[in-house]
Amino acid sequence: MLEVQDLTVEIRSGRSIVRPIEHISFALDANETLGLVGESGCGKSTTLRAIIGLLPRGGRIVGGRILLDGRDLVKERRAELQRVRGRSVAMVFQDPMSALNPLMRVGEQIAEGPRAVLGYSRGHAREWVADLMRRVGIPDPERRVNAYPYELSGGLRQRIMIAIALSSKPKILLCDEPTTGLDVTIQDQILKLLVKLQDEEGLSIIYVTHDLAVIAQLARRLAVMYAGRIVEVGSVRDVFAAPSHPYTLALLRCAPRADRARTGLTPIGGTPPDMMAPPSGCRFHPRCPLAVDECASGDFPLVTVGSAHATACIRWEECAQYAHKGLVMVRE
Amino acid sequence: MTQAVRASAPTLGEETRAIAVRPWYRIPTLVIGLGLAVAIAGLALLAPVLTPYNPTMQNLNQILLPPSSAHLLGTDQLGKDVWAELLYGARVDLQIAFIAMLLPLVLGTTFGLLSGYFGGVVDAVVMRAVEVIVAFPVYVLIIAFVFVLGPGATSIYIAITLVSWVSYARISRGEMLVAKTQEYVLAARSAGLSNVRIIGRHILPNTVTQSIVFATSDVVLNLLMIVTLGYLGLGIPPPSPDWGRMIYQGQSFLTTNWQLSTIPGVAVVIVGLALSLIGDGLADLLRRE
Repeated sequence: MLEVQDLTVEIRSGRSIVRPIEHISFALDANETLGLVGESGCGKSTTLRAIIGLLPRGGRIVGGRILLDGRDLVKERRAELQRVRGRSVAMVFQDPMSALNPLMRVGEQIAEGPRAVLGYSRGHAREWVADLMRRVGIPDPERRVNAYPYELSGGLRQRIMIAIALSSKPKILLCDEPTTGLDVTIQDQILKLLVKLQDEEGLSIIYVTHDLAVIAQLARRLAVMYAGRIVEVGSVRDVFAAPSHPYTLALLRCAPRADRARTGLTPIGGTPPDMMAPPSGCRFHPRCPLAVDECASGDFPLVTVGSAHATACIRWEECAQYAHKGLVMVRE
Repeated sequence: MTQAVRASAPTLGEETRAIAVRPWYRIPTLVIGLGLAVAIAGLALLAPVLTPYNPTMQNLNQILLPPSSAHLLGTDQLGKDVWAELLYGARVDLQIAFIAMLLPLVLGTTFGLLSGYFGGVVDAVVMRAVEVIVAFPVYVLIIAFVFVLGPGATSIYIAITLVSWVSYARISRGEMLVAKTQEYVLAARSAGLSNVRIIGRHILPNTVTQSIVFATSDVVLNLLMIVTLGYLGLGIPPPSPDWGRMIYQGQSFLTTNWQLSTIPGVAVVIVGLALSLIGDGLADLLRRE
């Protein structure tokens, strides 16, 4: 239902031009959750903002298409995009404290979309808000409706954010690390809530995070991003079982796992690339233990390595072997 | 189903949190300022009760009298009761000072917010207009406008509006530039809300504080302006009493009856003090957490 094809975004500030995402392609099916994984600054959030048509200042889409039910959002006018926001695609933000208006009662904030976008009457909106608050698991909604954001805990605020996102009945929910600021028990509750809501409302979700454990819990499919490009896509099962890009493997190695408590964690050497001057060739090659001379130049399109599993690495077979043997990768 | 709901029902650490916000009556500056302002407004409104004299009535048999029980603050060179003139003058001057704050507040805030939100051509046009007005000294500009338009309340309103909207525009534009980058604005846009709604319902309440705080001192500036114009003979035309004209007319008798000029001057200072205290208190009260 949502298809991103060859999307490239450019951000100009002053004389410098940065391309936070380049030639990104992925598809999101109805009622599916797609995980978008990568380090900070790899272009995950920019991808979401491009879809919703709200790039940061100086940013614009310079190539590619964003097809929503066959309609190309890149070509749509601003007024059309505003109609898409809220009622087709909605977003849940990372920090609900700063994403909620501090001076507005939460009930009003939830009601605003339905009133303005769906044209609900005051009474109808009030019922809808109570219904939404109940559905996102806010206890005692009659009382909380009149609360200000600062009066609520982080978990409740995030539930309010989700209620706002759902308020205009979107089909697609874009989640930008909505559980990052919460402690693990609350995080777990929010994830369970998202799964429940997806079942009930038939939502499609794109979930951006750097936390593979969250992806494992929530998504069937994931796309791994590095320095503005997608380096691997596939089902969560395939990618976790046979990571076919050294970056994916490295990410898995530095995520804690109960069954590997003894081997410890392996951090990824080096630092993420400077997007002002990204490395040539495969952007991961300066940090890659499997890198060979070929990696330093040329293009690395995704190649299919299994059913619906693709990677941008030319040495994916070696990579999968490493993963299989459980060897610790050491830079050669 | 019930299971799923229970599983996701909030438990640990999700209780409602209460933050103690300082109520307005616990801010001393605000309380004192409001007290003074209420007293002053009361004096002005109750003028007919507080003095038996008509402020325009001359009594040439009783000129330049010192304060006494019959004339609380004495009389001027035309035998008018100074206390009555002061009270009735407050009615005129304070009312104009207050009303002259409203239009610039509304216009300036609107222009500033639009300018900051949309940027580009809108911003360029508004900011050039602001610069043109800022390039002149405020007093010179207002006096010039009033001189051209002729004395009277209407001229004062127009002149002050033309000049003082720029302060509000600059304040609001700056606040908008900050607010625009806040995530709640992005969130509002991502919900498909219109620009008008985002500016009016989300950004305005979060940015208007500074303008309101400035408005209290702007009333003082307006009062000074009105008194200055009155002093220069460009203010409210006689016979309606005016503090500026009182100061001017008392000037000739400064050596013998110094209180004639001093009393309205002190009145201006007290009003200024009251409004400044309110401004300070409001800033404390409305400061964002």
